Amino acid sequence: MPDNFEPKIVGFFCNWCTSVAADMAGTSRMEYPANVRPIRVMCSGSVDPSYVIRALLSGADGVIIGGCHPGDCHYISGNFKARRRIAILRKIFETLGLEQERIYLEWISASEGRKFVQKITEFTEKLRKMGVSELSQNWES
Amino acid sequence: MATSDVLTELSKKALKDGIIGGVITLKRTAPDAAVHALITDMEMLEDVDSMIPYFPDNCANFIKRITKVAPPNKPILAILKPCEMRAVVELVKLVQIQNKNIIYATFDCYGTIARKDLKDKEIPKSQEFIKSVSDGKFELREICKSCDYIRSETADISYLTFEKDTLIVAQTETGKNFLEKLEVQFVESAPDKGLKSVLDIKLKAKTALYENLKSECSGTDNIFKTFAHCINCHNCMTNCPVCICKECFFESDAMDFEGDVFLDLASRKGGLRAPTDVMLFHIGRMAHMATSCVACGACEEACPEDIIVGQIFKWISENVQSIFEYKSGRDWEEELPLKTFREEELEPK
Ligand code: SF4
Ligand code: SF4
Ligand code: SF4
Repeated sequence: MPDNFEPKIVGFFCNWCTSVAADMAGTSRMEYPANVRPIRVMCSGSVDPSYVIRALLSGADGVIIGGCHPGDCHYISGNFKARRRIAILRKIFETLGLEQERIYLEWISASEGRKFVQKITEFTEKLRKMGVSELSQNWES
Repeated sequence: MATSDVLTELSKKALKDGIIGGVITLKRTAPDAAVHALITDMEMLEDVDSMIPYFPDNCANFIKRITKVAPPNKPILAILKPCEMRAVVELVKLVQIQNKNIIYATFDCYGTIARKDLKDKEIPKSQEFIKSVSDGKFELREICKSCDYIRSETADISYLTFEKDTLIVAQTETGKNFLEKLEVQFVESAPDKGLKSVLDIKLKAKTALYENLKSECSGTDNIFKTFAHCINCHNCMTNCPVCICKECFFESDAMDFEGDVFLDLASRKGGLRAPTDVMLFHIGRMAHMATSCVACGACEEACPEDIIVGQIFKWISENVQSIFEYKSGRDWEEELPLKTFREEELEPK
């Protein structure tokens, strides 16, 4: 693995919270790694696990899903459903001997620009240490 | 009376007395083939052996079909294997079966033989099969060898052959009424000594199977190897009783891109395999339905490439269901894990 390995991260960020936090971090010039390709979704509950799998099979080293804190979902319970779906996906990965640590779920509210920066930095650091994802390299996917 | 003749006699009597309008059972179509059939003619029941060790498909699909537009006005007696009953329960919860006027009867299941192993041979009669299955005379489907759901507790009627004496158990009010009308002797609670000793062997086989899958099929390279022959025909999904979407996500427009996107996908790794999205399909399908998989192996039987897809799905699903202490189809009341949630659980770490 090259020393300067920079993981590619796909971020699915809820329109009502994490996307706003990301914008805020940007406009207030907080610094964070540029590894994330953000995708705005209407709710963390709208992220089908296959989007996460698709990203990991097509070159991403990690996926982060950002949703509203429990109880704060704009659609009442989307984030609770996301939490179950992601737990299921991680269990599938674990059983199949794939790296479930590459899938990250975080609650980041609209006002938590700082938390957004902190989590992205943390996740990027972790993925740097893990190195290139094998799944992202296999051409037979 | 020999094994499944009990069920055939019961069906005939119920038909004759007009208590039911028809019977769903397995019926032979060739020495090495049988199908599920809805039978209304008593004569067509003459040679029926409902318990032959054969699995053409999961019969829950047929019951779904029959009740789809409107359930029948006259009851139908459905004679099912326990894994098919499990699928029925899941499909009722998933609002795919209208649960009215179907009387469910299940039997203690000794397992079935893979269709490919029966080609040009003869499906043994159930009596002969049951007598020598424990001597290892017949090679069972892997999924049956390690099946931990060999007796259903949700069916209206359960026919017990694992115990010292064969018994008919009424497990619901519907079952009780039915058997009373037929004036058939029955009991209301089932002994489980015989069940336990068969289950013991099955559970050991299951542990061995999972250990084997863990060493042979886990890790990126091994998973790709497991599905190396997959032609992405989706037979496994089409035959799966709990894959219920009108349009499967993996057959939808979401899989279509401009040519440039395919070029881009290929250039990321130097090449792109066709058919595309094989792994996406399998892992994605697991993520969609693992909470309801009933480990029936219909997918594996339908696979033209002999991929052990049923064993993989059984293994994954048991692990997934354990997160929620759920077991698909074992109980009418347990909530579907994807239909509900707890406010405090599974916090991301
Ligand atoms: S995935 Fe296979 S084993 Fe599971 S319910 Fe569907 S057909 Fe049966
Ligand atoms: S794989 Fe998913 S989308 Fe396709 S039928 Fe099954 S549950 Fe539905
Ligand atoms: S039936 Fe077999 S070959 Fe067809 S998609 Fe399923 S695993 Fe692949």
